[in-house]
Amino acid sequence: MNRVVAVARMQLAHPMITYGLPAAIVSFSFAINWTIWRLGDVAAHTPGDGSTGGLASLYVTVLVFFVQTVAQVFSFAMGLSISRREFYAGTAVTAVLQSAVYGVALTVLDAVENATNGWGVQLHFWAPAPLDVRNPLLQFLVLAMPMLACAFIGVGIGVVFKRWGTLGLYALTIVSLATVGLAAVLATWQDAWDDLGNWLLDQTATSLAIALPTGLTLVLAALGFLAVRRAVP
Amino acid sequence: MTAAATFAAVTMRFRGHTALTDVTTAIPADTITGLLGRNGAGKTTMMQLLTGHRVPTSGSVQVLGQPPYENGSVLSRLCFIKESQRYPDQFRVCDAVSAAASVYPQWDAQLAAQLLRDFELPTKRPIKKLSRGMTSAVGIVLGLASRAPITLLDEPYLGLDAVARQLFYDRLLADYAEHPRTIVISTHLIEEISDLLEHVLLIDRGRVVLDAAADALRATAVTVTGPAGQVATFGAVHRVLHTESLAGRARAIVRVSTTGAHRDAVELGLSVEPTGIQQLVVAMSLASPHTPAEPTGTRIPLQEVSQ
Repeated sequence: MNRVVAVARMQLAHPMITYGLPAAIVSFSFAINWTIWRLGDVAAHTPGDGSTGGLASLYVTVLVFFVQTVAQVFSFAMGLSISRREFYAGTAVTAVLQSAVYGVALTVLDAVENATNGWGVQLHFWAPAPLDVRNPLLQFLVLAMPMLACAFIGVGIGVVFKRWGTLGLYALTIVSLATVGLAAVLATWQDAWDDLGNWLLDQTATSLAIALPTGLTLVLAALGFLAVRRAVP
Repeated sequence: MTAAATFAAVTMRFRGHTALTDVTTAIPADTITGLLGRNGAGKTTMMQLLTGHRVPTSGSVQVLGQPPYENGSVLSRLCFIKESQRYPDQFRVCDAVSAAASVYPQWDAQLAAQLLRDFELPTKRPIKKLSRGMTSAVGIVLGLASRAPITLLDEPYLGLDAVARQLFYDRLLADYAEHPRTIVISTHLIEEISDLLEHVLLIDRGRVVLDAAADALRATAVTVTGPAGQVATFGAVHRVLHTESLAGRARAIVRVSTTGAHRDAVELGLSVEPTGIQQLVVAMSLASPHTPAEPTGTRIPLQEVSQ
């Protein structure tokens, strides 16, 4: 067990990189959005919809962090005789921990946002309108679960790189593209876009933002584990 | 001899080439074993099998009585320091040391601190910024301070200067004397390290060609010089590994098989010198049936070799 914790500590060795960097990036994104809202008086032009997707920068940064950390810490950890299972468990602990910390931070920021009328400019940055559920616990899950999914997408990419190298990454890109492309072609051919749209509208924001990422996380975590079992540092 | 690890009929095939062929051997416990061989002989592959980083294509590898692959109870007693060890980009020397300290149950913090001073390693500097030799020194600190019951060192000295290498040998021997453990060290600098070795495992093209206690090797390997006829007579009853001859005189590296061989050689009028492990290893690697034959007419003159 403490070897699992040791792996998590290796990955979180530098708080400046694990928390500082993503926080800096998303703060920057927030500053840009706030300035635009303030100068452009966006709230007056589009009343009722002050949402922005600037928060995505945080999720992307976390994804990239996990690609990197798997690619780098894996070799080092195995050099210290950590088993692949322990490494993977430690990485999962790191992902859960990070998602929880960010989830709490974002929930708090969202509460402040709602209390200050969108930072005085009706900006909905920390939880864009469809994801603003006004219930702290639910809000936490809505913000944290997609982050966990992003973390495992990152872990998955990192594992593919360790197991199959650059060629594996190219293959992954091609396969992902082909899958999405084929699905789009299929939906168009079957005239299914409207049905799909209706189905999405029928779902509540919470089920989309919690159930979908949770399912994705579980699938990716399982696939990643299978792949890492034969990866060579 | 108790074995810390065993290879039983291990074959390791990669796409397109075979790294190890039917290797059966044992790593003696509480002994310093030298894993010797030329580049690409299969030394690193053997260490990767011992640490469970790879699994053999066929055959079985056992470490401390169990297969090492994904085996936490074996791995926690095993430390593998390799020349090509990568450290995470932002890791400073102190980060690597504290990570190792949290992983190895027998970690000796005092020894680590001592070694960091000995090698003059700046603990706050990112490992990425260190020179090749200093990066190797970080590995050596981790390897020795881990006090792991089985410590594998894969060419750990790369880029280290002669003074630092001597320091490494001294520290290794001193700590080993106080805390006996199984150490396997792969190296090309055989001459430098041969006094440390208690057991020698020589592999060539994925096969074990020599597996013996170092003392026994020193006792059985001799170099005899004298009239070519006498050398041939002596060689006929032993195993000649390498011969050079010039103008009726010959010099041969021979592995003797009888205890009175030394006296026999002297009686034949030959001069006998002990043969170092390095000379023996070179001769055996060249004598290996897989080595391409030396082109005729390029025999090295005796004088040049015996200077």
